[in-house]
Amino acid sequence: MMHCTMDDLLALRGGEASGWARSHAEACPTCRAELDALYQRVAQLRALPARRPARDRWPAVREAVVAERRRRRWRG
Amino acid sequence: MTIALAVPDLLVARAKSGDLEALEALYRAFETPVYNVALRMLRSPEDAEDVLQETFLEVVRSIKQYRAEGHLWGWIRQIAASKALMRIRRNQVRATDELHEEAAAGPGGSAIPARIDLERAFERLSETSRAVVWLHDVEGYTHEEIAEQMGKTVSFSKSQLARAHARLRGMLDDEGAAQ
Repeated sequence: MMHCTMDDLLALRGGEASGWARSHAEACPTCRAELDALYQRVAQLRALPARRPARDRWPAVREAVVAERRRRRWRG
Repeated sequence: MTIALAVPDLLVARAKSGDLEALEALYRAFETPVYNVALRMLRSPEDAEDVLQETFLEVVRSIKQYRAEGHLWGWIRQIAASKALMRIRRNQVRATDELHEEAAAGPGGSAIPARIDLERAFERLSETSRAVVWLHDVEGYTHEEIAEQMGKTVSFSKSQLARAHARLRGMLDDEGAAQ
């Protein structure tokens, strides 16, 4: 039996699947489970914990900005 | 990552006038979300920090042009994604993305640890695949927007997404089989 490809599953998620993929996924428990797993993976990715940068980069940004302003003033 | 950062208009106005304190306040407000977009798209924390720095330099230089059309985070995120994609292109000059993916997968290209969670599996994708998955599935970009930012076609973005999900599924299946 032919099952949905990953392209089909992504198209199903995006609401742009072919008629065949839509009717197949409705009837096929394996493909429905694959689609559920896809939704779960994406939900888990969205829930990944936020990381913080190890170093504070603001002083470098500030220094570059101040240097640019100084150069502009010198050029008048 | 869902970002719901409201920045007072007065702070943005002060930042536009060049006030360094206001610019630092913006940096502090968006430091973590920018770093995380970059970190998820790129491989190394150092690269992600560099993108964070480049992004805020651009924010400082360009904030006068920000017209408050849409959320400030959307504007800053666009800059961050663009900087991260530029870095990916630079990295690809050194080695092909395909080789990176294989190298990250270990010797032989298929050595997957017995236990691997989604975050580890995601880290094993190529930078291009990570960028497409993160921008599309997490940040909500369309394939058209990704294609435009990457200088590629819509079908490239779609095929990268499908390929990445197939690979994630395979790695996580291996984990299930090993348990």
